[in-house]
Amino acid sequence: MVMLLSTWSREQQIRLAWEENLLRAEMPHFQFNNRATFGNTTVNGSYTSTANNSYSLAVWLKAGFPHQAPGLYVTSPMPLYGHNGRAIQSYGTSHFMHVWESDWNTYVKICHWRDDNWSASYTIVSVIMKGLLWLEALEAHRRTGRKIDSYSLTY
Amino acid sequence: MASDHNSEQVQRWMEDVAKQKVPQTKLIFDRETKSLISVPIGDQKNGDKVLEFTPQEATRFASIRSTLHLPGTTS
Repeated sequence: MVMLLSTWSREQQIRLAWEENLLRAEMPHFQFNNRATFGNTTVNGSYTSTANNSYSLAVWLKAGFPHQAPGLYVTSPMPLYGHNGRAIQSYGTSHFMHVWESDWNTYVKICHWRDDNWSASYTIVSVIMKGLLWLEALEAHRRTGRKIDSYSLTY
Repeated sequence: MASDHNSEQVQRWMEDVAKQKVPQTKLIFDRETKSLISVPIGDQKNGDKVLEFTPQEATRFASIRSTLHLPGTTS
């Protein structure tokens, strides 16, 4: 039997509070949204790349967080274009591009950790850090045509 | 501040790590400028103002959980 809960559990609330404090210290330009909404909390912010292009990122904390990996999305620009003007969304799930088929508003969903490699010990800040690397890799891909997995998202 | 040189250095770092080479630089996120910067390995400047891309950063939660008794320690 699957038990459905309508609110974040006490343990999850403690964890979210810790994550929010860490985010405030490390990346204060990213903000929690819908903090009290079970399974629908997001962390949103923007990033200007080393080539001076602006992007918006969102981390979606689903009901199983922290044991379930959060989703990491590029919410702007939309659509998001890669080499030769091909939309990244058109790749669907692609190992070479480090993306999953989108499950939210057709936003590009970045593969930060595979579900079987995800650990509840990983922080939201570390997920966003992978997002910054993916965006830098996207820009290198645009310039060179090389696939995004030519550039490491691991640090 | 964006620069072609920094952009190239960040790209090189990501290529080196992907090829399992030892990078000649390290990556930091400057909290004040909100930018990603490649700096020499030994650079210690602004140590408290930057976030460094290290494996320890990803698992920061695991490193403190025992002292804070926080949930979410297993996958």
